[in-house]
Amino acid sequence: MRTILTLALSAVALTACAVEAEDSDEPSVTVRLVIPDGNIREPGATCSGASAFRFAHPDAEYTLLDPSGTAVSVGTLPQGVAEKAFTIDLGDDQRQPTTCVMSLEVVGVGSVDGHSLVIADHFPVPIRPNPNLDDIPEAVLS
Amino acid sequence: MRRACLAGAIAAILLAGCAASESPLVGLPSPVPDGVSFHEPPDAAPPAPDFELELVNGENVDAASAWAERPMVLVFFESWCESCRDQQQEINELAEEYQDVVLFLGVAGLSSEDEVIEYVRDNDVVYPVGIDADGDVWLDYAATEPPLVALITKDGKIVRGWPGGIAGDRLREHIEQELVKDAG
Repeated sequence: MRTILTLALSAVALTACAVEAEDSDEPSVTVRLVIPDGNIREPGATCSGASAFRFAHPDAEYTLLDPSGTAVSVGTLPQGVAEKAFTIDLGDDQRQPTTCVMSLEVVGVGSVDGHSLVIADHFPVPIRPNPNLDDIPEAVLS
Repeated sequence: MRRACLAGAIAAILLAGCAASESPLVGLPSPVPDGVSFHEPPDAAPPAPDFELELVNGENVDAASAWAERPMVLVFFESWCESCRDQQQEINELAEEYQDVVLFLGVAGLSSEDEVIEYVRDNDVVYPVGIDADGDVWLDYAATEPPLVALITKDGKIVRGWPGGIAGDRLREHIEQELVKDAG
């Protein structure tokens, strides 16, 4: 009985290792999703899209489209983190106008040049490199 | 012996699962107990926007009728809201402390009914909860992002609102200072 259990656990562990190894071989890219809602928050706080951007919330489905418009990846949005909306210093701890930024880890895609992002059933948003952040791919909702 | 233990354990798990799925969703409170008194709102306090809301247990809340009896703590939330989960336990404790004295009311917006019920059960929410699917209540209370907590006095004056939420002793202090004079 104990032998069977040991074998079963070993099989599960080996399968998990295999899946992990397989995952690590897949290309992936991080896309910044910027939600310019201007909502008043503490910078660094967790956030979801506010006001007219409430549809962009954690667990909402997104689809990545390649330049031809073909869906190449789907996933769900993660929690966002509030970033200051303005570069002027309004103090570190004060609630102030912010944008909500979500980091999407898109697996199975090596490059997102010319790609666009669709959230739920909204219009596609182009993904472009942000020159101010080492050209990280970024989609800004509008 | 081992087989009996295994069968017992499986039965216990199944029973626990059934009990959890059948736990009733919280409805509207009982009448306000004797000996309870409430604060008068400040003269400048604006009237709270009136609304009706269907609860996930099937009951309906008419806000004005509720305010005629007791104050209200409105808790705007969504199933995916991490800050809401972080504050939920402390809000639950206050809702139990002020049971039948203050109506705590959860208002979800875009979450589905299944997601809301899952949130309610996962977080042991002890007060009634409804879904404002068309967003009117969220709009009327300027709730742009969950959580948002609003305090409404007996007779329907809005006295406080906290985007980002509030819980624990800070919320208790405001309930004591602005809503409930004597909890009986």
